[in-house]
Amino acid sequence: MDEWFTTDELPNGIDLHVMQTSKFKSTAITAVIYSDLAEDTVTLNAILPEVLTRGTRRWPRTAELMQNLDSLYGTGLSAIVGKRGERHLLIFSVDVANDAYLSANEDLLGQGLAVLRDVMFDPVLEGGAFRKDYVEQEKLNLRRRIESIIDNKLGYAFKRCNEEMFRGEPYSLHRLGRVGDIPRIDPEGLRSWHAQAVLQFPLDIFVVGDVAREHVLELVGEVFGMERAPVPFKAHVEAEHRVPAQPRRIVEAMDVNQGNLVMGYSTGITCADPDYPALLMANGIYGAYTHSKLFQNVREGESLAYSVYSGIDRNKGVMNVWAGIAPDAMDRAVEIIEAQLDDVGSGRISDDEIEKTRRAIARDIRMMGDSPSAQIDYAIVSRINGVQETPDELLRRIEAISLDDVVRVAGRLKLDTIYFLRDEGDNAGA
Amino acid sequence: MHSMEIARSELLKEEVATTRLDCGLEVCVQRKRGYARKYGVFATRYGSLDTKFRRADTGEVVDVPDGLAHFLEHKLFEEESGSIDDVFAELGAYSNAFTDYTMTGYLFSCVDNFWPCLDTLLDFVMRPHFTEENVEKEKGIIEQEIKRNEDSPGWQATYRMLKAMYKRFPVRVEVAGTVDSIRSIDADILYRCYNTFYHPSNMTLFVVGDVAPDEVAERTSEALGNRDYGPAPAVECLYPQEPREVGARRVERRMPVSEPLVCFGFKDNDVGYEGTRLLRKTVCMEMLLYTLIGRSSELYNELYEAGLLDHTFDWNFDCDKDYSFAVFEGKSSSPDALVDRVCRGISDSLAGGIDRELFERARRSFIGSALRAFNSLEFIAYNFLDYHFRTMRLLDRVGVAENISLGEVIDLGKRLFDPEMLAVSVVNPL
Repeated sequence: MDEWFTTDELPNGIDLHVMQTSKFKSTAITAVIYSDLAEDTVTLNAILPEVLTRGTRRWPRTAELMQNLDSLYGTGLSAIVGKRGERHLLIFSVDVANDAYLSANEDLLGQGLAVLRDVMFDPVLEGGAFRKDYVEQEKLNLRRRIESIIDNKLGYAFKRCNEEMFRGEPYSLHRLGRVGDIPRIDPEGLRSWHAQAVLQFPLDIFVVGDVAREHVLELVGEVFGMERAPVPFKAHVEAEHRVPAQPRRIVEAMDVNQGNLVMGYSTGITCADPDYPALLMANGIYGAYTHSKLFQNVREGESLAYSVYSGIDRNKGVMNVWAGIAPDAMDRAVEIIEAQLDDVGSGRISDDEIEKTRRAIARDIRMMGDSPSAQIDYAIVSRINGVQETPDELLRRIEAISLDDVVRVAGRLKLDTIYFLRDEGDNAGA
Repeated sequence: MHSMEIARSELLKEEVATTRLDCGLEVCVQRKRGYARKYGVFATRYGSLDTKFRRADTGEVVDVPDGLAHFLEHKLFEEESGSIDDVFAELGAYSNAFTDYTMTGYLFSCVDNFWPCLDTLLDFVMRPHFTEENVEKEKGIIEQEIKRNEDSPGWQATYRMLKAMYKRFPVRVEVAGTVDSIRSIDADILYRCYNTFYHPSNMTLFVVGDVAPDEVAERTSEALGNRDYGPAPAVECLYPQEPREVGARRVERRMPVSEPLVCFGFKDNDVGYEGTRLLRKTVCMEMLLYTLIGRSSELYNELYEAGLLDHTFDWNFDCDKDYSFAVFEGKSSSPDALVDRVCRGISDSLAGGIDRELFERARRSFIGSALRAFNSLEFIAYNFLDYHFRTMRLLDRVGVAENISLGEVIDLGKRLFDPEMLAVSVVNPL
């Protein structure tokens, strides 16, 4: 993977990152607005993409906006809110077919960029505010989306674990915000938050496709030439997290067949930490893959779980373990899961486990080159964390990680919270 | 050198090379230059529908428990020395397996070590190892998987709809079977099914990635050439005769969900299509459904604004030679009103005629989206054989879309959307 982004800054403070590659049949364009994850704005951010994709000044009706995308050869449009550590991102993307494949000389790229701009900057308004009917419908839908998190039991258990572990900290907030904030959202207030977000917050545009950098720079300069008053991108200071002396244990019961266990560990290591590659290795040996200790010993060895794996948030010093287990097996599962981490921390790791993990991580990193969205996300995360490293450079650091590095990093992991969602059987809550 | 037959799509600028080896195995390769990742998929034409069959050599009719193909898939992953995952992990590769109605597939993806991965894939699928002990152990794991599905509202809504729609045809049966049905599975029945369906002549190897097709054929021939597979067993799958009418018009159950979830579908008795006719019908129905109820349709937006559906709403057309149905699914506060409005909207459009401009826009959207899908190796890896085994060519989707007419789309639609053939399944909150 030799290609990587080249960055240019537009006069209005937008940073444009372009990667030219002939691999893909379309051009992926993503614009990101960086906001902080905070109680008073989390729900405003969550509803914004929904309202903005309802209609623009040029295409005020949602059906018209979508029909225009159909005409542009099914150009994909997505507008979502994302949580990366304690940042809350507004992410707008279009994916436009490359004209070369369609014998249609229609400047799809320019038209796609214009759609992206219109959705972000030029919403349909009435009396200077968002359309009331759109805002009311999206308030209702957002509430339903938040309330439906419970329909996926493991996802719900994860949300609950986070809330308990980071109580009182921004990171406890879900990316979709809070139901309680929704009634207070109104078309005027949301519009002024929107204007602030698009005109003042840091904004990056990423382009991946078979397009020349000079051409894209010119096009984006034209389409996104609006006046902005951007605040400079500044490093974020994370809230301090205190790990309790004894892990928190929360058990809740619901009408389910399977138990869902989520454990939260504090790592203190983000991708900006020199120990990040060692943490990637430790997590890989512990639970990220099917060859990892968790899958091998909790699922295969004990037949205790259908699924069990671990993952880290590279934007935040946290690692989680997720397991689907029998509803009465919590204590046994926690014990075996903990014992696996203990083995990692004590260096009871075979050369085989280390090398399998190293190869799996190398594969995952190199595979990113096949996916525009994976590369864009990597670049966004690097930007947030002030990391300059390309995937190739990260790969080289992974090659150099030793058993001692893994053991040292595993020693920094502390179990913070155990959350278990179980059935409503006779022993529930015991 | 193996001479390979080339199927090409000028529009996609993609080609697939195919050959048949002496042992009967078919090998298909789609070369994707510049991609790092490579996929190998080794699959047999044997899925969850094939629970009753007659062997021509013995005349014996075999009736196996539901979930057997899926169980066999799990067990083939098991080696004397442990899971085959370990071997792939050793090579830095990712491995997986899946079972659906008509196929069982074994897959790896890697960046390095493609050739040893390919050898491993061919070797483990062709070398079963079932013992009473390892079969018993697997039951615990599959039981957890079945229970997880039982807790999934989406899964429940879908399968209960299929059970209502079909009285006898086995699309109504869950791929993994039930906790009861898998209990009676033993090593003997696994071997009997394996020996019937895992003969090279019933199987296809598909590779996608930056590898030379003739080298794949050569290597595969070397890997399998020295083994004696005996003559191909002639086998006839015995499907029950499905009556025209649906089994039940409406079914309902309660689960811990935030709001009702509805799945409804039309049973299509216009079956027996194969090859290009089946592909043409599939593309026609997908374009018709997109035109009538896709994101850009007036009907979708009307129902969205009325609060009857949200972005969870989705539809699909699923068909093979012996079955065919259209299915719609989503969350709704008023499921019955949603079903009623969708059905009325569709029949009004079919009766009144569809605007040509709308249809042409849907065609553009279909072509652009189909083109963009070929950016993803994962999409190709998971869909190529699914199409191939149903006698269709994935590469031809775009070409077919270019020349179908609005008239034939409406004709097919009128045959499918028969109000008598509607089955509705609702999952209500507790």
